[in-house]
Amino acid sequence: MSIFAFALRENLRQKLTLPLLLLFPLVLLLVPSMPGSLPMAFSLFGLLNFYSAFLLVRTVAEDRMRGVLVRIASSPISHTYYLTSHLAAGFLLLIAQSLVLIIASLIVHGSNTTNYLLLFILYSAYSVMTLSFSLAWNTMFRSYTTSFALFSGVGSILCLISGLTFPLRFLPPAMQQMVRVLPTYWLAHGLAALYEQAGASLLLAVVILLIFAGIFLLVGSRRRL
Amino acid sequence: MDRRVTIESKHLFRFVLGVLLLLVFFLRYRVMDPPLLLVFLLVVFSLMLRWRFSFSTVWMLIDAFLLTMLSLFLPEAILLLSLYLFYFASHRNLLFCVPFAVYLAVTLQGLELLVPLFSLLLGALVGVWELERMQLRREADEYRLRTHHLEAETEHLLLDYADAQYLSRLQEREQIAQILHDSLGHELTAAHLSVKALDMILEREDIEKAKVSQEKIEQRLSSALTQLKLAVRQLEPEEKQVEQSIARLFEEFVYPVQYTIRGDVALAPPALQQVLHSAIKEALTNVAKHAKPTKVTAFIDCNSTLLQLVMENDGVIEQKTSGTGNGLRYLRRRVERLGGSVSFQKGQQFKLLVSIPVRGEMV
Repeated sequence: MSIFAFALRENLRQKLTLPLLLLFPLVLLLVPSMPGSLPMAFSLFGLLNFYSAFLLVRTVAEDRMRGVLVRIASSPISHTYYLTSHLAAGFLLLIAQSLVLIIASLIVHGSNTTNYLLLFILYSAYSVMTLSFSLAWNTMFRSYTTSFALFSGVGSILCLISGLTFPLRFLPPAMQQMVRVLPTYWLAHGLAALYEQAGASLLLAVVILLIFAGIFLLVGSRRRL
Repeated sequence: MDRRVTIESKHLFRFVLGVLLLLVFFLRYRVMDPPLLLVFLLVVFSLMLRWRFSFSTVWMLIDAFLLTMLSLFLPEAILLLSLYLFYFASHRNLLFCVPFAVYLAVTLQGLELLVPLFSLLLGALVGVWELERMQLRREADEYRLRTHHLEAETEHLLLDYADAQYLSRLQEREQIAQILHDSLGHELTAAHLSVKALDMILEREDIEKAKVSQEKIEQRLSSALTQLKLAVRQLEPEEKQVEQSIARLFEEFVYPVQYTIRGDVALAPPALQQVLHSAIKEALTNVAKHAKPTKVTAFIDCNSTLLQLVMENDGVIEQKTSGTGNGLRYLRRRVERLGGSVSFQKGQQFKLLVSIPVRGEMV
């Protein structure tokens, strides 16, 4: 069995994975929309995706904490291969999650709501960012429980102030300027661009999300035995 | 466990780079619109890429050049070039800094000019620090290697010394066995056979012959006793042997040596004689190796309390390496083991002074 298949199986064996991937996106569609923006489910999905990504890197974090990485380091498997396989498995599941939301949204809201292909691209870039953020976050802790406990607070605040749980326009203007440095902001920015059909702004959001992903990957991919 | 806290140059590099990043960010915060933020993130990514993987500094030059080009369209991004100045300066590529420093000096105005200036200075500081640390580490490695070699050499010498001791003991035993066999063996065998013959004569009650035989036995045993005394005398070291040996060392040396021996060295305990011999040999070797003298003088004084050697030469050559060589170090160790001391004086003349107290009875 390849590491990719193993990671996929391990991720799916977690009790919360399937509800998070298949059920919760459908529940999000029940949240009523606000006037002058895309359905709230699209931005709330950012929060769901963030937590799902954190859950999916659990195997990598626990491998390090249980010392499995030491055994892998002594085998012919390279760290890059190990990490790429795990991240690819996590990315595949997050893509499936976004597809569930997009397909369900197509059924519920119809195809005229937005450009679903661009939405999918935006979600893909966001998924890469959340996965690498979770990876980088976990490298700072020795216990997954502590890491999750802190992340649940920080992640919620990040999503709250970057306009994912409620529209950004409700925040004070000074705050709106400040939150631009947060990676999660760029999903809200991208969604707003999608609603306004501003292609350049959407592209910028996708590129910035990918750069954030790159920075987090550089931090998170360090082999810490 | 050694828990020394050391600040590595790489930690200082990261810290200063972080501070500079924050500084540039806050200076440009008011105009941090999405395109500028994108450039800022790209610069962070570029720096972090170099942190994780080691690329040639030339690649960083390309990044800096691209940023310069970009700053023509986005003037707010120009301040970010300060980070590259810091990077080049800390990697001791001051030549790379020149075009960007000139560009920044021409473009920036007022207090903002201080940012690239500080970046350059801090970078140079970090670079020098790293260079010094590298040098220190190299020196420490060299010292460790030298210590390792010295330890190996000492071990080797000690093994040689033990081997030599064992061999000389074997030779000595062989010599004793040979002397006993040659001198005593013959007489004692003859005496033994005569005793057996005396038994037979006494059984025949031939008293006259028995008396003759008894006399012969007495003569044999007396001769054996004389031989034994002779053998013991042969085994004992000759009284004048040490002095002769020392004199030979001085006379056969490449430079003329004026030597004086006061007192009777042969009366000193054998261990002291041995060390004195080694000390003279070592001192002469050092003169031959490290000096070009016109005059070498030696003075040996041996009395009932102290054995002293003073050697001087006037051909001191200035040497790069300071400190004591291996031979003198071993000599010092041997002398100190006997409660003595070794000291040197280095001026226009090199003077070696060895003093060993004479403990116990003189022979």
